[in-house]
Order: sequence, then structure tokens, then C-alpha cells
Amino acid sequence: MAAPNFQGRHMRQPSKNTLLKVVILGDGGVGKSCLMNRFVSNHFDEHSFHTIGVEFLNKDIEINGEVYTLQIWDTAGQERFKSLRTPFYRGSDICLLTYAVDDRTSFRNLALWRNEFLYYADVKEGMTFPFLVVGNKVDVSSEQREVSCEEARAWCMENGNPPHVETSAKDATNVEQAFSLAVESWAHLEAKLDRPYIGDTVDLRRQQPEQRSSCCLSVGGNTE
Amino acid sequence: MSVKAFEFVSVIEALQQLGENAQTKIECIECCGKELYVGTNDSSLILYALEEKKEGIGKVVYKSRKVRHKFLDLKKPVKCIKAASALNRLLILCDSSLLILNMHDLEIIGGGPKLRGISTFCLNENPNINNPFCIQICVARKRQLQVYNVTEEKLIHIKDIGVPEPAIGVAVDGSYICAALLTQYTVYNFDTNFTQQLFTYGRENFLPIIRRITKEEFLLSAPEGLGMFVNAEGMSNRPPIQWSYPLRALAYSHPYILGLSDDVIMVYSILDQQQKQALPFIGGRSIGNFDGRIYVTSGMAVYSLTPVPWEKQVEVLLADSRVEEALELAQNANRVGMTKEQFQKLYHKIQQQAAFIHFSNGEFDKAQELFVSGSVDPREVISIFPGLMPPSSTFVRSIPPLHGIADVIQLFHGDEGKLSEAKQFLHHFLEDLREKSHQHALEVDTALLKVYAEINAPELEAFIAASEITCDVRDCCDWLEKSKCYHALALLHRHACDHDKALKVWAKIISGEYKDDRFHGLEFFVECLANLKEPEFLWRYADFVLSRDQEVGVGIFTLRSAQEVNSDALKPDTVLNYLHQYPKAVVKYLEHLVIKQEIQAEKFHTHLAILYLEDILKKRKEGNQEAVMELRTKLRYLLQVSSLYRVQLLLGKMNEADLHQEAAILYGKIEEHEKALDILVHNLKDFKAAEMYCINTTEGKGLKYKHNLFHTLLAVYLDPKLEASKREEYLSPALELLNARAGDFDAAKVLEMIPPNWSVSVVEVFLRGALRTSLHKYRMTKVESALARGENLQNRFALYHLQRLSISLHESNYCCICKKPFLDGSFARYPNNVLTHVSCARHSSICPLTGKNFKSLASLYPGR
Ligand SMILES: Nc1nc2c(ncn2[C@@H]2O[C@H](COP(=O)(O)OP(=O)(O)OP(=O)(O)O)[C@@H](O)[C@H]2O)c(=O)[nH]1
Ligand SMILES: [Mg+2]
Repeated sequence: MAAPNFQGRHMRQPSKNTLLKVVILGDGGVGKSCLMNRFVSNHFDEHSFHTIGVEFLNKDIEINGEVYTLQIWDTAGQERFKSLRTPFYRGSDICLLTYAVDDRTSFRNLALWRNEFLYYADVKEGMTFPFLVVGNKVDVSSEQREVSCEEARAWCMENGNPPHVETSAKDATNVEQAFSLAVESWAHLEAKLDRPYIGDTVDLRRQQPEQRSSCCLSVGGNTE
Repeated sequence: MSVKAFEFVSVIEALQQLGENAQTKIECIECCGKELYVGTNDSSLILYALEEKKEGIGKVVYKSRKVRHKFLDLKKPVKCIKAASALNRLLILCDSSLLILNMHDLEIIGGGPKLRGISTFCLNENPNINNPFCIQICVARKRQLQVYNVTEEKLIHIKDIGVPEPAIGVAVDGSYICAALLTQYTVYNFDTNFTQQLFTYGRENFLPIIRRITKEEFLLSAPEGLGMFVNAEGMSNRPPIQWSYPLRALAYSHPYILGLSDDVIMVYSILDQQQKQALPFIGGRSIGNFDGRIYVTSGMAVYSLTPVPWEKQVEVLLADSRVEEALELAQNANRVGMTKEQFQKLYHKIQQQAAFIHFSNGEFDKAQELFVSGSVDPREVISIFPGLMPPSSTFVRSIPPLHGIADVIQLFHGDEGKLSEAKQFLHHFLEDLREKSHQHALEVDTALLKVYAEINAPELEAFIAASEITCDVRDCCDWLEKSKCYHALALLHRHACDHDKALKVWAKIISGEYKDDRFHGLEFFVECLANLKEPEFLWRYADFVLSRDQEVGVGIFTLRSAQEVNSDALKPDTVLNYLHQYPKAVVKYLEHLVIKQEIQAEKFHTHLAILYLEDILKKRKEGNQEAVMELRTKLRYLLQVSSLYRVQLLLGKMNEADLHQEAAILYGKIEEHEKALDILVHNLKDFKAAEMYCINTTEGKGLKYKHNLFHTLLAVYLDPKLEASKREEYLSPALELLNARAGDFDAAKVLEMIPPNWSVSVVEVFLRGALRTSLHKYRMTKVESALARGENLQNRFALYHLQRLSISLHESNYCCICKKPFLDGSFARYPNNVLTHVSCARHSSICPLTGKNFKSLASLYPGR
């Protein structure tokens, strides 16, 4: 199955970087900005300020031999920015739903974030969207942990089964992997969309013998 | 945040100076060409004529003169003025009414308001109408947006759109109306009736402002002190701007966003959304971009914000080491009044300056990239490295200078790490450069050579030896000597054709005076001598090399290309005479003459053979069997391939020395095969060798010769004079020979030779083989004869065909080539009946008329 899908994508965008718009959502203070900065510039700010409005960075990432340019939009999680976030949802390819494992409220709010995103991003009904659920701050001590991994997985199962990953922007655990995972999950869904193109592949094959026979003819003509 | 993007220039310093009363305040303005319209809080409209004067570089001074004053008599402030110059009209919003005025005499068209109950209105800056004498406006009424087309005469109603809340502000682009309602921004498409909510805001203390940026993209003031870019689809494609102060009004002048607050005008770049400048300005009320000119007003005054030329802004940024910003600004700069080439030149200069800044900061990769993309003159870069510029270069640094660097040592305060990084950079930079172009080769090659020498790079020798360099030789030689790169120094001398110096340096390395591990040793030196045309050097260093290693040293003669050997100074006799004192060298040299050059002179061949022999005897005495074997192999090889030596002389010596094998070869040379075979069979008992002898000697010879030799060998085996025991011994090799090589014998003769007492079964294999061979020969001959007969027949037919037709030559016939008649009766005819003069027939086999080739007879009959 994998091969024809792969081919399908290549036919669409030969050799060009695929640009993917990624939005990071989640309650204020769960570490969205820190995740983005860890991923893009590999540094961590202990005293990160709340984001005002939206921040934006680009980064190239290579997955399975293909280069993707991620256009990452880090939104402000605080309630007061609610209305200003939504214009950034439209046209996005990937959405990271973030909570902090030491903040149960942020986990409980995931559903709200998901719904807000689906509403404003104009995701067509019945379409699966490549979400990634990210539990940040896994570096905290087990006493401080308020959301278990199992619990988060269970929530995912009930909400469209997006992939789930636990990260720490502080000690760089799984940050790169989280973004890779998100892109892979996008590619997977994209490949499914491409399935009708498999028909074209068969067509091509059918043309080949015809081409070969005409080629023979012309060679014969030349040698005469 | 220290770009100086704009400067203040006063346009109207105070209304009062121009005759207004103290309570009058400016409410809004409009500018159209040289006309400035000011709307006041007391319902007046004043027209000023502006005069713009350029003073110095980029400086503008304004003079204004009041032309007309119109009192609208509505007791309310004039809220908004828009000029439609094509229609010669002004549109004015005052006291919730839309008035249309004549632009020049300021008379109200129709005597009163055209529309009433209007909260705001705007022009469509990008309307979808073709009529140039028509503009489109959008007006906001209570719960309605209305679109009108306006002509000189009238308003034409186009569309109504219901809105849930009253609109406070509107902007239109194409078919999209962006409206600020009481609590939200929304986009309406009045063509398709599509509605897109953008975002909401709290109604308290919030002033919605809309500014069109580009096609279907608007900048909107947003809560929390933000400015949001949103397009007609409701998408934000740029991060928001964070205003430093509460926003009052907005203007856009690419690439800058100007935000007016109570005390400051904030300048942001749309490229990175960062603040670039803050101009203190107290009491600001409005700001606007009027056909490229930015005006800002306070209650009393009008100022122009003139953009500082981007070149100047870039200069300031560069002086501040803000390289990325400078480049980004230059890339996005307004290139009006500049050809593509001019801009390119300027941009390259900026890139070069930027590159030197990166360089100063030790960011060498970035520097290199910019040096390359900015097509820097490489000499600018080389010249900051002390000592690398050749003294012969005429280069002077460009003026004005691209950088303030004296040299790298001063720049990096002698920091070794930084300096070596800088060298590394230069190394790569110059190498890349050389691959791409050969400009300034003198400086580039000299510098690269010096860098190689200094970092002791392995590329140094190859770089010189490839001999495509154009460096300053004297300068480089000094440098190489100083860096103790002696081998490279010699190579460079040679590259400059100064062989004398080159050889002297190498000789010093060989004799240990200089030390350089890169030198490849004596072989290399010998090769160089051999490659030199002038034998003068060869003789000068001959003893030097031969006394060190005879076998290698003789290469000065043997490695020379063949044609030069025959020059007088290097005649083999002269050389041999000279080599007398170096016996090993003599052998090598003779081998070279005899085997490699195949010189056909008996004395050399004999001489070499005798030298071998002497050596063999010597080694034999020493008991060195291995050396003896080796030498004998060489000797035999010589005896076999050459036939020029004096056989008799050598034969005597071989027999004396008991060298049977060699003697056998010599007998063979003088066709005394019986003796040779005798030695092989009786003395050496090497039957295989005897057989090989026959095979080798008869190779390429006739059948008879072959038979004879094989019979001779058979006779040696079957010699009746042999005693019985020997005869027994030779029986089996004799039979083996017969059976294995039946075809090489004359069977009849063999039958005569073999002893009568042999049974048939002993020679059965031989007989069968002989029979088969002779039968095969018989049949082959028959086939050949038949084929020859067939070919003969074909040729006879072809000949007949050629002679079959007769031709008659008439006076009216003329030569196909010169078109003249045949006068003397002689002519040439081609097989296809083309006739020409004999003298005109240049090719006997190619028809001059058709070009047909009659080389082969067969071509006459293409059908076959
Ligand atoms: N221990 C720990 N702290 C983290 C981690 N990531 C972020 N933080 C801290 O959490 C706080 C908030 O991080 P931000 O990245 O600013 O949070 P945010 O999600 O961007 O918040 P908003 O911008 O308001 O939406 C900061 O003090 C960070 O130092 C993490 O992985 N581990
Ligand atoms: Mg943040």
C-alpha cells in the first residue's frame, strides 16, 4: 500500500518542500512557547512570559527523506486572547493540543480547545484532522503530576484517537519527536486522501507497452 | 529600534498663523496633488496650495498658501474628506450627512446633502469597475451597509447589506467590505453575499480601526494592544503587531506601518512586525498615506513624514551591525527611479558591507555566503590579511571603504583561535572562487598559495604542479622558503621554468641540507632530470644521483623520451663510456637499449649477454643460487628475443660455464636443432622443454619446416645408436610426443622411422590422429578450390557485363564535366555510361555526375 501512496505525493509536488502550517493550542502556561522555542532554536527560558497574541517561527524538518517546512504558530492561551486566536486557525494543516501534566485543568480543557479549533478552522464535517495531543512538563516530580499517561491515552481514544506524546521543553524530552509524529500523522491522513490517485498509477502502466511498440517501429524505420 | 525611517517636516505649522480663529481645530485632512483640504471642528473646509521644495539630499521643505475657505454651516465637525480627482469632486461627511463638492470652487453640488443618517463612509480602493470617471463608495447607516457608484452627476445605488450591529468603520477592497461593528469585525462580500466573521472585541474603550494593506488583506486594531492582519477569508497570515501605546490612527507605507498614539508615532516593519522607530508627537489626531505622502495632524498643525531614503536607512542599520535587518530592508526597498542593474550594484555593495560585518564578528560562514552572493572583489578580502597581497598588485581598496578593518590581526587583537578560523575561511573562500572564475588570478593565486603554505595544506604541491597558477613567483618563493616548504619552492621554480634553482633546492633536500617530508625522494629528482630537454643539467647531476643509487640514478638516461636519446650529447656510446664506473647502471642501461628501445646494434646485445654471464659466474661463486636463477632467466630471455649477438662467441662461453639451457637456445639460433634438442633431451632430460622448443621454433614457419623439426626430435628419441637402457627411457616421451602432436608429423615418414618391432596398438592413437588430419586437409582443399572457381565465374560475368555495351562518340557528345565536345577521340567512360574527357576524370572509381562509387564490382549490381 505504501508505495503507490508515496508515488502519489511525488506526482503532486516534485522535489519541492512541503509547507505545513502548525498551530499550538492549550491553556496559558502549559509551555507552548517553550515547546516551540525548544524545537526551533533548542533553548529553554525558565521565565517565559505569557504570549501576547501569536508568535511565529519557521523550521525545516526531514522525515522519511522528505523535507517539510513547518510554519509554527504559537498562540496565546490566556482567555483574554480568545477572539484573537481564531483567525490563525484557518488554513492550518496540523494542530498540537497541549496540556501540562502537572495541571489537571489544562487537561480538562483539551476538549474545549479541540472544539474551538474545529469550529474556527473550517474543518469539513466528518473529516479527520491531524491533531497531536501533547502532555508537557513530564520532568516534574511524580508528586506534582496530576494527569497520568493512561488517562490521557484514554481521552484520546474517545476523541478521534489522535496520537499522544509526553514531552518536556525543559529537558528536551520528546520535543523533536512530537513534531515529527505530528507530521507523520499528517502524511498518513494525506496519503489516505490520495488513495483515488492509485487508479492513475495503473493507467500509466497500461500505457507503457504501447509506448514501447511505437518506439520499436521508429527504430525499424531508421535502420531501413 | 533605531532605524530612522521617517523625518518630520512641517506643512502647516499653525492654522492661526494662516488666519483662523483660536477655537478652530483640525479634524481631518485630504490631499490631492498639490491641494491640501483641511476639515475643521467648526464645520469649515479650507483649501491650501502646497509647494514642495527639495533642499539638499532627500530633504524637502513645504510652503503652504490658503486658497479658499468654505463654511458648511452645519455647526458640526467635518468628519471625513475624500477627493475624487477624476470626477473633480470632494466627498465630505459632516453632521451625519454626505455632501459632494466641487473640488476647486468648493461649491456644494445640488445645494445640500446627498445622503443623510450616515455614520461613516469609505472609498473602494480597488473597485471592480471599468469606468475611470466613476468611483465606488461604501456608506454605513444604522443597520445597513450601502454600496454606491459615484459619477460627476449622481449617486448610483448598487447594493444594501444588512448588519447585526451599527458599523463604526468600513474599508472596501474589490468586493469585500471589512466593517467594524459595535463588537466585532466582519467581512462581507457584496457580490456573493458571503459573510466572514473575523474576531470580536469588548465595546468599552476600544477604538476599531481598519486599514487596507494589500489585496484583500486588512490591518485591524485589536484588543490587548494588538494589530491583527486578516484577509478576506478570515485568515491571519502574519503575526500581529504589538502596539507600544494605545492606537489612535493607522497608516501604511510599504514596508512600514505607522501607528499614531497620543504622544508618539510608532513605526513598525510589516516584514518582521517589529518596531523600528518612535517619533515623539504630542496631540496627534490623524495620520494617512495620500498617494505615497504621509501626513499627520494635530489639532493645530499638519506635518509630513518624509521617508528617509532606504539607502540611508540601510547605512544606519549597517553602522549598527544589524545585518539581517539591513539586507531585508534593501531587498524589499522601493526601487523607483533605479534600473535593475543599478539596484543590483547597490545591493551587492550592501551585501559586501554586511559580509565584512559578519566577518568582524567572526561569523565566517555567513560572511562567505554574502561575499559570494555580493560578488565581492576578492582582493578586498585578501587585503585584510597582512602579507598575502603580492607586491606587484596594483589593487587599492575601494572608496568609500566597505569596512573599517585595518587588518585581521588588529581586528581580532591577535586572538590565535580567531585568526586561524579566519585563515580557514579565506582558504575555502579562495578555493571556491578559483573554481568559478579566473578574475584577479594574480592576487587570488598568490594568496591561496601562501595560505596553503602557512597552514601546511596537503593541496599545496598539487596546486603548484597543476601549473594553472598565475601567482607572483618571486613573492611566493620568498614566502615558501620562509615557511620551509622546500619541495613546493622547487616546484614553483620549475613552474616558472627556472630549472636551475629548482634542481638546486631538490639537491639540497636530497643531501639533507633542507628537510621536507613532502619530497618524493631520489626517483622524483631523477625523473625531473630525465624530463628536462637540456642535457646540461643531466650531466651536472649525473654523478650526484648515480653515486647515491646506480639503479635509480640511471633513470636520468633511461627515462628520457626516445627521440631525445639520439641527440649527440646522449648517444649510447657516450653514455656507456660515462657509466663505466657504475657497473649496475651499465646493465640497466643496456637492458634499456636492447629490450625497451630495441636498438639493433650487435655490440650492445653481446655486451649485455656477457655482463649477465659474468654476473652469473660471480654469483655462482658466492653460492647465491637465487640470484643465479634470476640472472639466468634474464639471460635466456635476452638470448631468445634478440638475434643480434655473436652466437659463436657466446656458445663457447656458455659451454665453458655449463649453461646447457642457454647453449640450447644458441644452437637453435643458428639452426643447429639437433644439437639443441640433444642438449635438452640428453643433458637436461627436459622432454617438455624439448617439445616446447619445437613448438616455439616452428611458430609461423611452413609445414615442411615443422615436420622436419619434429622428426629431428623423434630421431633424437629413437636414435638406434643409443644403448638399450636409454632407449627404454626415451620410449614413453617419444610415444607421448607422437600421440599428442600427431598433426605435426608426416605420418608416412614416421612409419619409416619407428622401429619395426612396435605393435600397431602402440601407435594407434597417433595413426588415427594423423589420418583424421590428412583427411581434413584434403576436404578443406577441395572446398577452397570450389569456392575459388565460383568467384572466378562471378568476376567473369561482371567483366562481360561491363564490356557488353558499346558506345559511339559523336560530335554532338560533350564532356559531362567541362561541357565541351570531345576533340581528339580519347575519352573516359564510367560504368554507368557517363563520358568525360580523360583529363576531366579525376577519380577513376567515382562517377563525377552521380557520385556513385564503383570501387567494388559488386556495387554495379545492387540487386545482389
Ligand atoms: N518544568 C517545566 N516547566 C516548563 C516546561 N515548559 C515550560 N515550562 C515553564 O512553564 C511556564 C510557561 O511556559 P510558556 O511556554 O510561556 O507557556 P505558554 O503555553 O506559551 O503560555 P501562554 O503563552 O500564556 O499561552 C514558564 O515558566 C516555563 O519555564 C517544561 O517542560 N517543564
Ligand atoms: Mg506562550
